[in-house]
Amino acid sequence: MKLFLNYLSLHLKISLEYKSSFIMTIISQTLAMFVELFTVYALFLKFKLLDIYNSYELLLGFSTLWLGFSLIELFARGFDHFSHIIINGNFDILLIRPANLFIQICGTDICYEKIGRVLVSLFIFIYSSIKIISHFTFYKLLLLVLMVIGCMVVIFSIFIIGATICFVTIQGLEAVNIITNGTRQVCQYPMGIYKKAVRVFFTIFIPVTLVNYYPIDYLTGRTDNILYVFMPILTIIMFFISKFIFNFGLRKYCSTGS
Amino acid sequence: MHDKGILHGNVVFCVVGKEDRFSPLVFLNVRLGGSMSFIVVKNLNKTFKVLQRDSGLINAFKSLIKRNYKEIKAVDDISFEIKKGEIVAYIGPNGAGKSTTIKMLTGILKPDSGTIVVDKLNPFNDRVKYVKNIGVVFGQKSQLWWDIPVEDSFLLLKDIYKIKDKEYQKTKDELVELLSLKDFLKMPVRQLSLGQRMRCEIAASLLHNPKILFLDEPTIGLDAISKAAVRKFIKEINKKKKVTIILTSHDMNDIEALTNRVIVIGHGKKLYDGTLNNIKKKFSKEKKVEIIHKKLESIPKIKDVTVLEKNNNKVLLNVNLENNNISNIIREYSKVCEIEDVNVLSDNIDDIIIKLYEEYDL
Repeated sequence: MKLFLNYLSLHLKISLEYKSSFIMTIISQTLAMFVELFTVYALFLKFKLLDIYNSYELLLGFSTLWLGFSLIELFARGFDHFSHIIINGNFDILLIRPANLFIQICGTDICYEKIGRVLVSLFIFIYSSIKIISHFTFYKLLLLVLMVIGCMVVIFSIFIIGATICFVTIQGLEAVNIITNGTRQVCQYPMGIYKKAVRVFFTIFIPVTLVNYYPIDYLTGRTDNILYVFMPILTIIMFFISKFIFNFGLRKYCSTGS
Repeated sequence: MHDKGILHGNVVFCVVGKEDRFSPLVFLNVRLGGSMSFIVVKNLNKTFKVLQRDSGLINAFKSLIKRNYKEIKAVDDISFEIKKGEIVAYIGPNGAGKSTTIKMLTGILKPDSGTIVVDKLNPFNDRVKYVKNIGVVFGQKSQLWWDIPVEDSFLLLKDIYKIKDKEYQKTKDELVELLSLKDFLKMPVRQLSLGQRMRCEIAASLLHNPKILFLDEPTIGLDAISKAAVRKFIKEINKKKKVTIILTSHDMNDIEALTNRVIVIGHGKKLYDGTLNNIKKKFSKEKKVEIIHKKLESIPKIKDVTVLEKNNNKVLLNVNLENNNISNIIREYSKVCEIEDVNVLSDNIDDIIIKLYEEYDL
């Protein structure tokens, strides 16, 4: 953990080295985020889905996903750029170090430019949960935290699996982007609008519903089942599976260059 | 190297013998400890699948449907042993399998078959434990961070290897002194020259006091002064800290300056393992002799000597040393002229290696 903090401070130093580019990127990324938000909102207004779904529920589901996604992009960008790490031969350098590989891969690129997105989604997340939850209990607060963490775990696992594919293909696959961005695009809308098959897919294979769909029922009071609070914890299973796949892929790794 | 080991054993035996009269057990221990191999590589194999495709766009599309893979044996049944404190040069032409072997020795790649045991550990399976004891410098890859001062990269390594403050300070000061890094320790890596950067890379790989140092082309692209500095340092670190060093290089002067033991590989196979002098003897049977003379009337005919060049005051000869020697030639020439100067031109080590590669058809 100390190592990870060291990585954080190193990257902050690097980001500040190129100050103006750093600030410009934050601004543009934040603006892009708002555009996305308005698109979703406009779409919903058009189809009058807001009659069924409270607009704040919509916002909460949306912001949970965005918060998880932008946090992982902030801290684990290295996995997203894993094909570059392999092609440069930098992965060899990571392998000759006795530290945890995942922390080292995350440490290769910490993308502080995403901080704008994190803050905007955090703001929407807090704002919409205040509007939804009529009275706060300990479990509801716990669930809110678990939702964000669970969402991070899911996205992180997808990143890990995507990185694993690079062991075989060397070049990153665009298919991985379909999974990462696709998941984000699909899951930012409430799952209720999709057919059941889609919902099952996003519960079993990519368990996003466990963090931004079912738990919201508990927050709004539609259900009192305490199990809903601990639902996001199940995402850890996906993490262990992806970790296993990654370690398996490592055995297939053939380095590049001399 | 082996002779030295025996000698060393005997010396210790004598010292022990004084106190203990005769103790074969101690003697045996010392002998075993002295000669036991630190790195043992046995029947190592690694095959890569390489995509075969003819050039051109149409062929590129064709290869989308049907892919032809060719198996290339990068490392083919290689075995060797290295003792503690040895410096071994691992040489071969490009694509011979040097880097692949180094990558297997450092735990980066998993061997297809064969075993590697280094200090009782298996590099790939015990990777995390193993890499604590090794330092690696890849001449073509940087382990320093481009945008931040060198010292910050060092501090990160301190955390990665969990080096204690005191130890870190001591090792760092020592390395800064030996490699004279003081002036640019606070500069970002991107502003350093290649020579300065390479010195920092080497320092970075030694911060945790490794037992083995792998140097993959450490002097690539360096100027003469930096090369000399790097060589001097490598020798020093080997002597002082008894670091076992395995290096690959295409610069034969590196190898000549640093080590006597050479392992040559080509097409993945081990071709030679022994001293550099033996290679020289074997492949340098001919020498060029330049005689600067006055008043040479006619060139004497000597067996196995051919005249390459003839000037007013200079003769260049190619001498086969198997049936001839230099003094004989000088004697013959002094009979017919006044010799002003004689230059014996040894084969350049690069030429010898070219001959070696040619002999093995590389």
